[in-house]
Amino acid sequence: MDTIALLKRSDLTPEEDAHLTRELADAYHMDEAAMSSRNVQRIAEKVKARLDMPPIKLPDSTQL
Amino acid sequence: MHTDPISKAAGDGAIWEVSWKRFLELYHEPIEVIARSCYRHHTNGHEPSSGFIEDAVTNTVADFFARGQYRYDRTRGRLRSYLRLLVNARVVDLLRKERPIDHKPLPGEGESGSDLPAETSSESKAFHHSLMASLLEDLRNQIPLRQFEIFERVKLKYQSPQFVAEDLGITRAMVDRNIYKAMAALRELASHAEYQEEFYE
Repeated sequence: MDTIALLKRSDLTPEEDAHLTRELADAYHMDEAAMSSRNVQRIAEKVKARLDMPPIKLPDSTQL
Repeated sequence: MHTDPISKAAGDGAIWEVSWKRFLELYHEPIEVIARSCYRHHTNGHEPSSGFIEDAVTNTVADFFARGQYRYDRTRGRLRSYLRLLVNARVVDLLRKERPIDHKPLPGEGESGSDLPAETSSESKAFHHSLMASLLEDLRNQIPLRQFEIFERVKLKYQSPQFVAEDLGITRAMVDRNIYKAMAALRELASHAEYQEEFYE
């Protein structure tokens, strides 16, 4: 089932509604897990350290 | 302060603008999957260490929010395309430091300057989950707090509507009405161009 197509409609069957609810709940619980993940917290500390560093010229492999 | 959320303009293309911390929570998974895929692509199928992936995610998010500015400009393309380019660039930078023995020429060393691996199904799935979580985040910011709480408890935490009604001291019909309104708001948010462009290939 195409979740995004389901999100556009308001006339869902009980099966479609259950599928959409499950997808939303999965995303919600993964997000909740990420917020309390020690791995994500560790990366966040490293990102903060990087952002707090004075600007340096990094090698850049693209023209972003 | 980097952790302060960047304010959202109402309904005019500011959907993705969140603090770097929140962006990390929402998008770390697709970034990790892309980084693994890029590493394998550039090293003839070798598996990256967890430390390498952690550094790739760190550098990508830091670069995304360089100098505290949210660097993605949606007029220049889809978020997922920009993110793939950015992650690939940071993986290549890290590989240049690491230099595994058995590696293909890195972009810039070989004939192609933009050597990106094809998008995998696990990458699409991870990105899809992140988009759905972003959508819920936007819903939380858009509708009344009590309405989101009712929606959250019934639809996302699977509490029974009757239990929620009794717990909040409201009627069951009120619970149903709030969920109906929240779902309508969710549909409206999902119809925004930013989401439609990202959700579909």
